[in-house]
Amino acid sequence: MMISGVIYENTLSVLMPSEIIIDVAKVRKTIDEANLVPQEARYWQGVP
Amino acid sequence: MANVVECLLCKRKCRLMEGQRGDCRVRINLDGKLQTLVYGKPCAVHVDPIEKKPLFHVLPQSNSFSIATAGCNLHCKFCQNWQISQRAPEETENDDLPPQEVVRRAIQYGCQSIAYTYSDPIIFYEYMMDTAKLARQHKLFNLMITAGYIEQDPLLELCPYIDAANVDLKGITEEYYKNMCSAELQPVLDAIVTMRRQGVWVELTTLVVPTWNDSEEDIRKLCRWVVDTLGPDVPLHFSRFWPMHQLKNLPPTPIPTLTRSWEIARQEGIHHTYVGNVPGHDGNNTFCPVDKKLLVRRVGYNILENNIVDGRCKFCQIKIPGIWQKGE
Repeated sequence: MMISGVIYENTLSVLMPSEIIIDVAKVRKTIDEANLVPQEARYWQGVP
Repeated sequence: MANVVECLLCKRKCRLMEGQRGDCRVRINLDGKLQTLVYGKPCAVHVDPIEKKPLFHVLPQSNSFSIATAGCNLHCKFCQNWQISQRAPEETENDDLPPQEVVRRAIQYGCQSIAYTYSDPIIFYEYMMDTAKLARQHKLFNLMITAGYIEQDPLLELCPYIDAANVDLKGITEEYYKNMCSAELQPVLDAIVTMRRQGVWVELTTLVVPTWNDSEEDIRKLCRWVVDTLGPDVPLHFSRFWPMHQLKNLPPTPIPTLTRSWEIARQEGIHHTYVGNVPGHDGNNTFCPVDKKLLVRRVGYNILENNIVDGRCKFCQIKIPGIWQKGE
């Protein structure tokens, strides 16, 4: 199964390349434009 | 609400003003709370043979449903996945794949495991954790492929859900980690020890970079740390470097250098050591540490011969460490 991205893992085998084609956006999107949905993270604290 | 938040996931302990994001590019202070931008948003999804991770002692010849998001909390000059690891998630095309969908697809594609990989799953911790919990309910293995740069508390919470990990032990000096990766060695060593103590099956990978970490002294010191701290049964993979990212000026690792590293590891008492990225090398194979017989012959990620039966050497019956089938 392939979706976007060219990946060369550090165990690239010339016999079995893993090809995932990445489309890197030429213009950086905003969080909303990139369809990212912020969710509260774990392991943090407020700093007074 | 605090205006400044401090992330406690890794040693960097990024302190972030409102709107700022951490060094990893995917955690951000929004409205006085630390938020992750990559939950359910992988930019890389693939089915890989488990040997590719590399994991040679876990469910051989099985497939692993492999996911990654953008970002990373290291910045290795040699990174072979820099196109996603050194990017913010707004710069990659991301899929919409919540944990339940990851599990569903893994089962649909006949995978025995889910691998959190390619960039570094530590930075998509929450996504990895929730997916791993669901995967466990469906009897899928969870594999973490990571640089191990994580604080102890989040690691201890994660370990019960991780069956196996390949951890990059990139070098054995603080100087190397600082200059090559903008990170520190000691937290990685601590993470490896913790994973082992928590029952995670661990295999280590060292990318051998010409002129940087390839001296006999460094290789020997690394091997001695592995044997003295973890014992002789933790597999150690030496992987061939290819010019990439910020190190295009270097040549690929010479094969004799990898062969020498492999031999040093065996001299220092490591029972299972491998050479990666060199198809056809004897270091692709598994040998019995007692009678030295060939146990597993590999070419690339394919197994051509397997003399491990019920987790033991077919010839002398000694137990070969690993998870050879589910339920072990």
